[in-house]
Amino acid sequence: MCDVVRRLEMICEAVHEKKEKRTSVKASPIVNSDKKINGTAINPWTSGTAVATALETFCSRIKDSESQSKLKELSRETATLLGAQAVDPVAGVYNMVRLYRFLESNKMDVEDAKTAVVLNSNAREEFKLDAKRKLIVEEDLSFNTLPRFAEFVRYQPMNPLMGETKDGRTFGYLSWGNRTDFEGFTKAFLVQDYVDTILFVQELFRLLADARTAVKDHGFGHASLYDCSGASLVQIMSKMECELPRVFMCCITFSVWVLPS
Amino acid sequence: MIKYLMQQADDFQHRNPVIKLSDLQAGGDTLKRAFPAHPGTLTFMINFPSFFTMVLNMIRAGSGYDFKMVILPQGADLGKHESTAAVFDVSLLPKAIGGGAFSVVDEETGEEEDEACVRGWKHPTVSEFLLALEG
Repeated sequence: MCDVVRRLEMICEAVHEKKEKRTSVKASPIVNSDKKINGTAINPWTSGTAVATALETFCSRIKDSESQSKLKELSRETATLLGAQAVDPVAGVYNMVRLYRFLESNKMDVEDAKTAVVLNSNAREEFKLDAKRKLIVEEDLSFNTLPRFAEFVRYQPMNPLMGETKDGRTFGYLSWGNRTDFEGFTKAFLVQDYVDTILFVQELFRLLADARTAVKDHGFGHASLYDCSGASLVQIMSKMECELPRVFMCCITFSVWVLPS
Repeated sequence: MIKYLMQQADDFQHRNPVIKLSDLQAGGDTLKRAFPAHPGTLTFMINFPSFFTMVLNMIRAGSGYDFKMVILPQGADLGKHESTAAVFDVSLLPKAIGGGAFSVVDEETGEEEDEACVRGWKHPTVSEFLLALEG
């Protein structure tokens, strides 16, 4: 028990340290803006369609003028740092919808949001997310056809996009319990394989979320349903160590419902 | 309890010699960096072991993150509880967690239901999703 408590304390300390480090970091992009401008732009949306138009007009449709000007400022700053292509209203990864998410996540502070965008851009470079995005768009993939996803869900049942909640969020399902074959999973997937598959899932999910938010003017949120039925303590602990910091980052202003078994 | 935990930990390490907890932490960090928290996220942990509510309380107290947590009584009906009924149309949730939805694994024969709504669930491709939004 002491060991468990000590480990939890270490996780909490690590999360705290990272949070402090993140706020004090002076972020700079890995690649220069020229490379970004000359890089291959992947346009997931056909010009002239409702989605493309909605993305282009997203900023002007924000009713609060202060939020609107902050978003424009963040877009300008991001263009200076990452290149114009990165914030292209249609083809850019950091379109207005996505930038607005960064603003909201950073309590509408442009400086903090800018730092977060640059750090995220560096992570995208490091984990080759543009290549994943390119594959998803060019091959017109779905969650069913993402690389190794069908195999992944055999071991860990997961449905990233099931439907809509009453207030317009999307919701998805993930098993952490006895429906998950942890033993088979760890034989079939190395940690890197697991992360790579999840990165594909998230890249597709965010792509669709951008489009949905632009068109519907809402739907920033997502509800995740973690099915822990029959889970063993250690299985949950091992998963939590990977997932929980993320879950709790999300939970700052949101809610967790817990149903004791 | 301690003996039980130690035994489970030993079993886990024995069965999973490739994965170290540090690897899992690194994996979590990767995901956080590549996909920062989505604003407006709600997390529901269904049938979460009651023991772990203590752990959640510790994390809340130790980390400084302020999150709301509602603990429902065992066997609570998601459709009847105010907190979940306000968010979900329960008939759309997977049967596996007390909802009404399921997927059919083999469409041709109509055999085998998947109560978790995973196998046999048809997701739209990017173009199909965009087309649906156009409509």
